[in-house]
Amino acid sequence: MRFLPSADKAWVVQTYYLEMPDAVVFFRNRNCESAEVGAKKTMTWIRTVPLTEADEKLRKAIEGEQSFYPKEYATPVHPDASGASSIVGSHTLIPEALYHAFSTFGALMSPDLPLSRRQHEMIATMVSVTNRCVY
Amino acid sequence: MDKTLVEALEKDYTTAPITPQERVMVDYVVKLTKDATKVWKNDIEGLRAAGFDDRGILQITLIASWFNYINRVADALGVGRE
Repeated sequence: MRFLPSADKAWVVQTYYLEMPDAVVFFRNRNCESAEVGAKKTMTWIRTVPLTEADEKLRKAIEGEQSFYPKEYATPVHPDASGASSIVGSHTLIPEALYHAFSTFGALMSPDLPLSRRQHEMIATMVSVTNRCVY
Repeated sequence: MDKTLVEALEKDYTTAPITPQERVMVDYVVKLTKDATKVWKNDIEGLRAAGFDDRGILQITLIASWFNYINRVADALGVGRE
């Protein structure tokens, strides 16, 4: 891990949308430790399976969880070569967990539920701020 | 949310331009995230008093918990890090 120079010790924060194959999810990029402020990084420290190499089980898991996303989250931003996002990619070795984790998220964003998108984003922001998390 | 509000929340949510109802929600989210064992029945009653029904309270809790999950996965596996 590299740390920001002392002059930049204050948390450097960037907000952006993390792309998913057919969804855009509000995430915060809280750049706590990297010197590459504002850079978008997509690598994980474990092996992941690119969408282009996914077997049927994984493809069905990804397609299945995508179906839960509301339309307002459906505009892709900066999709990567495989069409998958890094946080979804981090789950690809266990397709069942991927499906249930991201289906849960999609279900929680439903417009049929009481909270507004502003409230969704406020919650996501405050969790990441409190955790000093890169996401 | 617009960028200005995000930055205000990041800087100090207690002074951010949010509604009283949102403040109650955010206080709960922060408390749950720091140490969920510190959340008590009165916090839930506070959410109800602010206008959230029990379905809304459940949704707040599950979204906050989901992002806590994602934060831990991302940090532990280097998603968004070097």
